[in-house]
Amino acid sequence: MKKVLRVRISEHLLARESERLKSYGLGSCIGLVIYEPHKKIGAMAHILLPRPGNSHVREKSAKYAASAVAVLITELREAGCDPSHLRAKMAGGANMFPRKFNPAPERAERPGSSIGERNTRAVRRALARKKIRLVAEEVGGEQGRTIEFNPRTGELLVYKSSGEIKVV
Amino acid sequence: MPVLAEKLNHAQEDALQELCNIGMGHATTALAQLMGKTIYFEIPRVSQVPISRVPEIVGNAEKNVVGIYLRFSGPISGNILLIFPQKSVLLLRRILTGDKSSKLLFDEYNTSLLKEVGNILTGSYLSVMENLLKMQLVQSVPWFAFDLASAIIDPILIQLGKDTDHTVVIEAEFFVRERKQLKGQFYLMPDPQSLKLMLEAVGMGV
Repeated sequence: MKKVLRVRISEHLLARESERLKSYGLGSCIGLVIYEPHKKIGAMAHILLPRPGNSHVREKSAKYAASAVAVLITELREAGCDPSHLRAKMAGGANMFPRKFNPAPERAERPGSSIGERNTRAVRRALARKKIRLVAEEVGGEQGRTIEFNPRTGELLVYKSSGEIKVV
Repeated sequence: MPVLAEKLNHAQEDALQELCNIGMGHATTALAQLMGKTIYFEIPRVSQVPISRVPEIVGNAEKNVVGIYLRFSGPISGNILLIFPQKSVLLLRRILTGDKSSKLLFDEYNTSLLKEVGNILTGSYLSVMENLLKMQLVQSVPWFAFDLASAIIDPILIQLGKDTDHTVVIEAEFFVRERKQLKGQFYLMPDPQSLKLMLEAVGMGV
């Protein structure tokens, strides 16, 4: 039995070869993995928001896109990874109240209709700023996802709520 | 921002529970009238938890459910989410429309039907809050989702997470007496700024 570590909202965890990292039911949230392919070490963050509402807050947590990227890099570096060898994968950022089910009022904004996209963009930007290559993503759409990362292979399993399973 | 930082004490929890208890009484009566069935509900539970723990409270991490989400606003504001398991959705449709099919279908008719159930439950629940708290509340249109409960709740947690890392969740399960498989879950998550006002309105201010 491989040890599966569960990453909850706003949390982040590091895993080695013999372990797996898992995040359940990502809706508009983002599951971000940064890993070192040769050392077979990876870290996952479950990101809730692009950035703090109050820009004075300089929180060092996985709750926000920018700080999550920084936190993961620090953890991996402390675990002996060379930042220039790091790669990233991400999943999530869906729209949970899609137009197909909620065609009505034009004026009323669908709840969280753009937050998934904003989260996705914020993570992409934060990765680019730290020069981490995003090698795969499974984002957007109108379905929740559960993800599992295997540090040994670098594979990210994406279980979509429709039952479809993707490996990215 | 006047966010309630301290933990709720027992008296405050009891007051919120009682508020929900009365609200659920009215809400389930309205649903009972619509369905022509007797509806029971469990004593509501009030928990104050980190946002990261809410998905575990809502459960259903493996199977898709229907979620109907409404926001309410006024002097206090917050979120109401109703969750119906697939089996309950089918039974609900059978009772309300006579459609005996065992296949889930979310066309406009069926989603509207479920949204209307959400509207009725929420409307009668909020009217109790209005009376007890002596304030006027406005409810949004109902929004429909079919997915993992923890994914459906994401946009609500994102909304709450802007201002706080903790939230109060008031939950109550309701079910049809003659058909216990027909059940639903009611969740109320007040906006962080509203909790203080809600407690004050029930005479439990800090």
